[in-house]
Amino acid sequence: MARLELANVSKSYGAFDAIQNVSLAIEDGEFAVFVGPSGCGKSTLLRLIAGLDPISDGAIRIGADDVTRRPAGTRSVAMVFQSYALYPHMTVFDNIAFPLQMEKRAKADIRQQVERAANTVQLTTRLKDRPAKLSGGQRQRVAIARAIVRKPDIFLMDEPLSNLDAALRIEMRSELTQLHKTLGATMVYVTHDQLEAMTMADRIVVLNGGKVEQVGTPMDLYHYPANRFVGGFIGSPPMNMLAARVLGNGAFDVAGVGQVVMPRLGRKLAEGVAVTLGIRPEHLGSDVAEGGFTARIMPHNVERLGAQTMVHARIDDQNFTCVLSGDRPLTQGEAITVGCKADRIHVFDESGLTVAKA
Amino acid sequence: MAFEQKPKEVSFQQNWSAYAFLAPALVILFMSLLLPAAATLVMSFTDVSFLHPTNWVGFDNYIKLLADEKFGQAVANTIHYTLGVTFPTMALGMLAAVALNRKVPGRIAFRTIFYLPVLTSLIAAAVVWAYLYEPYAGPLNNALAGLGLTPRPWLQDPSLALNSLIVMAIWRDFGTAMIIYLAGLQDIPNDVYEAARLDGAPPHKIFFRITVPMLSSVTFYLLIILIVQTFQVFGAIYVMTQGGPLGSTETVVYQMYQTAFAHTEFGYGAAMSTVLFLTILAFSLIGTRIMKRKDG
Amino acid sequence: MTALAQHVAIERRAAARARSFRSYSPAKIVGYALLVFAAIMTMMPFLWMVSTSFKTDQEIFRFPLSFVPDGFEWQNYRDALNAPDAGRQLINSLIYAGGSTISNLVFCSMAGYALARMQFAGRNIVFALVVGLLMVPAQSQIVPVYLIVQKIPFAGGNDWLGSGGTGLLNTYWGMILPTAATPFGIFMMRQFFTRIPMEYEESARLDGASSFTIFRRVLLPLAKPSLAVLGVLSFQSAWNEFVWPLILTSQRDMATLQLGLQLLQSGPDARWNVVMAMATLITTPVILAYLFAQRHVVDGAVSSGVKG
Ligand SMILES: Nc1ncnc2c1ncn2[C@@H]1O[C@H](COP(=O)(O)OP(=O)(O)OP(=O)(O)O)[C@@H](O)[C@H]1O
Ligand SMILES: [Mg+2]
Repeated sequence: MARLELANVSKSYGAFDAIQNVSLAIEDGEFAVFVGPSGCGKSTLLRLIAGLDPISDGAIRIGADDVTRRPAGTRSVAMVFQSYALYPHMTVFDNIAFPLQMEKRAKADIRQQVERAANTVQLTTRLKDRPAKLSGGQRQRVAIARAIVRKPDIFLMDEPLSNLDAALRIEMRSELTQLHKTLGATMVYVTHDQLEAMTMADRIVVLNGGKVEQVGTPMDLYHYPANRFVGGFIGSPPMNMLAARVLGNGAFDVAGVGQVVMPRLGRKLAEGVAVTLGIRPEHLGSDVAEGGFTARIMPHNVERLGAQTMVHARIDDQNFTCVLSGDRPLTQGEAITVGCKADRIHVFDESGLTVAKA
Repeated sequence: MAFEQKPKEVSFQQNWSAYAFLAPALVILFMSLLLPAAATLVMSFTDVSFLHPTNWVGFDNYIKLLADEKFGQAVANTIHYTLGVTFPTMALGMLAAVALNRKVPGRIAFRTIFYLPVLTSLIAAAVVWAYLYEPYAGPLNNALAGLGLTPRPWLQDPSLALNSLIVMAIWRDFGTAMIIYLAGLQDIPNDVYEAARLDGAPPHKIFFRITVPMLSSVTFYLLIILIVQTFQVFGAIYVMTQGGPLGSTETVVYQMYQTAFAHTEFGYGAAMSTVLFLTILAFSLIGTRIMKRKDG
Repeated sequence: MTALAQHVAIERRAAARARSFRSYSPAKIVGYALLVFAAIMTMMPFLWMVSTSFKTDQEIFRFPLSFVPDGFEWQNYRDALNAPDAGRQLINSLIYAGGSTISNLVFCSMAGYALARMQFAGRNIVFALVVGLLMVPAQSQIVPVYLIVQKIPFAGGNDWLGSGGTGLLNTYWGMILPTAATPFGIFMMRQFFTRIPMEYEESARLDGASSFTIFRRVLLPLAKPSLAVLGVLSFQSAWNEFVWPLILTSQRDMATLQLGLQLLQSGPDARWNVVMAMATLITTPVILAYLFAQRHVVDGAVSSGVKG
């Protein structure tokens, strides 16, 4: 187990900068999740940590060692690939034993280790089978067992659940969390599914376009997104974004809504500045509070789920979603008023940065 | 800061063991293809032989070639042979491929049968055909006599021998053409045929208006391979006619072999080889171009 | 819209039915008859080869010649096998074809792997060279190859400059050399290795496996189907090879079966039935190897370990 530190890591493919100046530290035993849209460089960053690709600039440290110039295989890092990469011509046993054989361990030792790992992932009965005979979830477990036997300092996992169906994914999610607790290992986990990130992570690293947007606990990111991108990316359904302009009298003029009372901000915004207001769908209610955000909307789609009711409308030609608690007998085309308190409103300035509340 | 150079990418990707993996194969290729090609060229400017010390002779070998009537005949024979083999082979190969590209009963068996001659060793094939062509007791003349026709000395008549060899080569090669055409046919999307059929096009129109044009790049590629291959004909002639009768089946490679190994005129043989090599290389280059254009 | 779709579907089914063999139009029957005729004609030389190989000496010169032999004259096969040097030639052929096959499998797969998967300076140049050599006509090189094999230093009584002795002429090494690794084999293996997902190799690299271990333990087993194809092709072409053994050997005890067959046929007291028996014996292994490989090359293994 060890701490992982990236210092100003960059990676370019020719003229294309896949990773730009990423610095972050992942603590010993932490479960860190890299999340971000497709193509943002999550896999690339993981491969750089593993040493599968050389970095263009910066440094990587594992524990006390600078591993920047060490090739893959000398870094005490194990990786679970998105495709699992189980060797099809070897049995499950041989697949799990492979890393130990590379270390030239004694036969008896290998057998014992493999059996222990197989036990951890509940695969003891399938050791003699070829991967082709296993289900998706079982293959994934073999891949994890193959990583476990190495007792690496750091586990890397690249979207290990993306090939599984929804139900199995949820099951494996909690199994992985459990495994992390048992092993107490440092894990770096990549996903583009923000729900996976929220449920599993100690800390989330949000990546976008090769840069780190924000690092923090799931609730940090949910309540205090550092910028418009994180605000929109974390949370489901995504945050409603409304174009607005700062008025002099402590209010905003929101396009398609009208005047909205401004929350108390930590920094004064000049009059006339264009901003974006972000409001999470689940923070909107039909019991409109005084002195906050209120809007009259015309639902074009109502989804009644029992525990909650999702209302889809449009404001200023942008999608606007409300998640109202409980079952509401609403129908489409019937206008309703929704709103929220002023301190629920997130304010993003022209460059997309959050304007903190006072 | 602005002038500071970026550190060079860590280059642990450079894999020195790659050279160890490549070395044996490259040494073999060097000795069996690259060095010979270079050596041929060099030797063609000498009179290297076992009989006397080697001298540089400049372009003498090539000048001699131009005036050499026997070589002229060998070139003419080779061209005759190549043309005679290539086109019927391709036509038969295409017909067989088109016929077997549909759900015909026993198509695997047909395909295997048509491919068997390709698998047979050239010498075995040559020996068998030498028997078939045998003038007195051979099955072919026997059958002709049985039908009341005149038996012919297939391999002993200067006007028949080369064509007899051509027939055998077609028998041996059309399976190759068939396999390549079958691969080409598999690349034609089925929709194209169905659309044509919906338009009410009769089968022969579909064949000439759709199948043949869509196979054109395969056809050209095949043409090149066959030309390159038939140009180098040697074994069949060595076994069946030894270049005779009256030099009517003497081809370039056979003559080259004779010049080099029977008369030990290696330099002169190398000049022949160079001419052959350049001709074949030209065809190969055209072939690769076509292949590239098809892929791209 | 649905009506149109239905119409198209019906049309398609009708077209498919018309194409399938259920409908016996006269043209179809003539076409099939032609196909059968072509198959018989193609088989004819083989059939004559086998039938003649079972005929007695008298039967061969009988008129009219009968296609079906009177009985099975196994003596021809015994004579073919007892022909001078036949056993020796068989051993030579096996060593030559086996050696050529093994060296192709080993060297071509190693080179193909390096070209497909390793990063090294000069990779593109080497690959371009291999593709270039693909076009060099081997048979037009008989003269220089002969001289090179003869001039291999330190072999066959040669000094370090390669003169004085016979080099590798009349040796198995010399015979195998010109076809010990072919540009085609390297190219084919490279194409195959390029298609194997990168993750297998990366995973093994992370586990600390060396390049050679990755090659030996991970990639070669995955390459079995391709190796089977390369093996059959190499064996077939070496077994059938005539030119290289002809020019690179001059001693009787180094001749291969192909040379032996040629000698048997061109000899003064050649008997067609014995020659055909020999031809049958030579042809059979290659045909069997082909039939075996045709079924063997089934490749489901690669896709099962990596999905998506
Ligand atoms: N070998 C390469 N050469 C050139 N560009 C590359 C290479 N590998 C990745 N890239 C580019 O780098 C960017 C980041 O790729 P990466 O695979 O890390 O994305 P990702 O965040 O993992 O996306 P996904 O969620 O789709 O897996 C992409 O734009 C990709 O095109
Ligand atoms: Mg990825």
